[in-house]
Amino acid sequence: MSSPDARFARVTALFDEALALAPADRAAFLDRACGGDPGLKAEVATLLAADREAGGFLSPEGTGVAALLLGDAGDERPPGTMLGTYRIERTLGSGGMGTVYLAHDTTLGREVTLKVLHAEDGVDLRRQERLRFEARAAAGLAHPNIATVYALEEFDGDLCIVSEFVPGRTARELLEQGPLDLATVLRVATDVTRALAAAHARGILHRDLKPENILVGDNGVTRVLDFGIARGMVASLDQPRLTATGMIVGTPGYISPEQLEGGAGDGRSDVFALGIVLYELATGTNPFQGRTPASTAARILTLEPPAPSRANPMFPPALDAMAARCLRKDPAARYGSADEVMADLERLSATLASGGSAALAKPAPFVLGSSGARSWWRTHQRAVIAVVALLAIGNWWLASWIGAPLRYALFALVLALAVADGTLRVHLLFVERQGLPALAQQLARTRPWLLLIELLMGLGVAGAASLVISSHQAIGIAMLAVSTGMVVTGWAIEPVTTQAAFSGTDSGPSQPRSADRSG
Amino acid sequence: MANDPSHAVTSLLAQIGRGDQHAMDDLFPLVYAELRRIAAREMRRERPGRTLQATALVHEAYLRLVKDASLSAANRGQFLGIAAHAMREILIDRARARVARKRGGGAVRVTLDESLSATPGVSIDVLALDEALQRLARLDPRHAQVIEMRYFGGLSVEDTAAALGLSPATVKRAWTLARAWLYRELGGTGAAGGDPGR
Repeated sequence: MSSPDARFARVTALFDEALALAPADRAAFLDRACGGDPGLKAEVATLLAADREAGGFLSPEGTGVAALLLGDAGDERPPGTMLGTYRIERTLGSGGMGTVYLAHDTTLGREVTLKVLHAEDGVDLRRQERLRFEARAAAGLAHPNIATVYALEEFDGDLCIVSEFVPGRTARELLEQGPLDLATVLRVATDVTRALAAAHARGILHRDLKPENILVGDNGVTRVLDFGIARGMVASLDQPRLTATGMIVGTPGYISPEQLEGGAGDGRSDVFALGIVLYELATGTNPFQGRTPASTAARILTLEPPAPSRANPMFPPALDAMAARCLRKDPAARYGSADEVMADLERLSATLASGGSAALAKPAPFVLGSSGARSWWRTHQRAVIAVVALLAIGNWWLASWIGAPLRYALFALVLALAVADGTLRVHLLFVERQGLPALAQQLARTRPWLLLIELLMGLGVAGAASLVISSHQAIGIAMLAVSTGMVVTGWAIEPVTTQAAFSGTDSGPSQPRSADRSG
Repeated sequence: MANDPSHAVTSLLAQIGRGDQHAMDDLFPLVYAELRRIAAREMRRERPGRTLQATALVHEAYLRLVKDASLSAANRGQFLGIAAHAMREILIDRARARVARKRGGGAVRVTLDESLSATPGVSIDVLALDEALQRLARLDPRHAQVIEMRYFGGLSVEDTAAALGLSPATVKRAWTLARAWLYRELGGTGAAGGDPGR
């Protein structure tokens, strides 16, 4: 393998020679030099073309990024590495703060989660001490919704938090599949709020609540991870310089306005983060997420996010109000504590369990998707189904007065279309009645089909009616009128009804994107 | 290695200079570990708006591991070449680990995204680049080495020339050809009409 390929060596030589020539002379040179070998000529020619385009490709400045990518792997420990008595099994994740491993505690023979925190270069003893203090406090939290901290260790100068390993998936991982259903949102939010309330009662703030720190266990119980650790890492949020660092280290998308403005924050800052989490679980998007940390911060300070139910109509308006109250810019206008959030969540869950989503809609401060509009939408669907059935039956009459081949064609066409239309609409009614989250998508997807089916059906019936109108005037005119009415209803009335019922945009409440207007 | 590693490194470099291939195998892990250490430390400093340059990493590793100022230019070149290779390995390992961690996704690719890159409009799939580079090495190992040193190691034309025992002009020519070849190979060219190379 040490000697170059002979043909490649020829390509190289020709490429170098051609490159030394003026571009205009190259083609002639290649014609001459590769006379009998069109393959060789094409090879060199494509390389010359690539060279013209390659411009900044592989520019050594680009390797700054390479090193960035390499940097965050810099101290990742491979499986099998021993850290004290812990054997690393695999990496679970890594971020600005440190790397998280699944490890085996060889002394006690159990699986644990190891979070190895990057020690600051140069000794910042005060900060290390603070981190230790916070971790110790968090270790004192015994709560079913808080991951239990077993130990705080130090390996090679890196602090390491040992905590229980819970098989499950983080809320972030769950969100990769889109928004969660209402029952799951309530269950996860309730568990998270309980954890916050218990911690706040002992004077411990989370300070970095986000979907990555919420672990939904395979057993259905949700645990909040990394209590209080953010404080040690983000250090004193009251020092502006460190606030800036904190933004980079932490997660700018979940920092409260008062913390962004340099305040230390309190329990209500966690409530703000809880509001974002609630919003994100229900809609799949963080309403403040901007393209850069700076734009995200600006949005947190200024943007009033649209109601979650605008993005996901399956979200009851009562939860809109809760999210909005968590997300007030002024901490004083928020829920005063996690306990207060808990009370509202419990009320909501109870209502949901007893009365279904219609009952939830009652105290809505928003006009979005009121129960009246929904029931009107259902009536509309049923009415259209009835009209379609009526047309199919009427068409049977009409067809019986028409000559042989056409009568069967018309009859079959209208009947098939009526069955398709009726089936689709019954399906929509079912999806809506069951409160399935796919409704928005289904509405958007079926609408063009319904319009097409009803248009064809209207044309078919109108055609049949016009054929018989001379002999059977009354029924002909009636059928013409009903079929026209059906088509007009589909095009003009239904969009309005749907919009009122689901408060979505034009063709139905699709596009969760609407939560992120300016991008 | 109980004492100062720089002695070990210097003597290994001297052995490599005498053509000892085993010394190369011994030196590589030292350089690899040092680079990872430096990179990790740099990352922890978390200075906003600052990117790590490969060239800075490689040169710092050199300063840390090789304290002997009397080292010949050829030996220095050897070291930088090894460091560039280590950078490539680290980067590729990292990219593989990232792909593996994305559960259930064989199709995940790690790219040096244009939003982060100093050169706008260029997005490079690290693993695809590595594979293409391996194919290039089969045609001509020297061309692949030039790319490795210049791109992954951030070495200057002069350092690359010293490491490979070539003239700077030869390095420049090899760089131009290899870059065009890789660009075409990675599907970057619009002139993909005649494609006899594949």
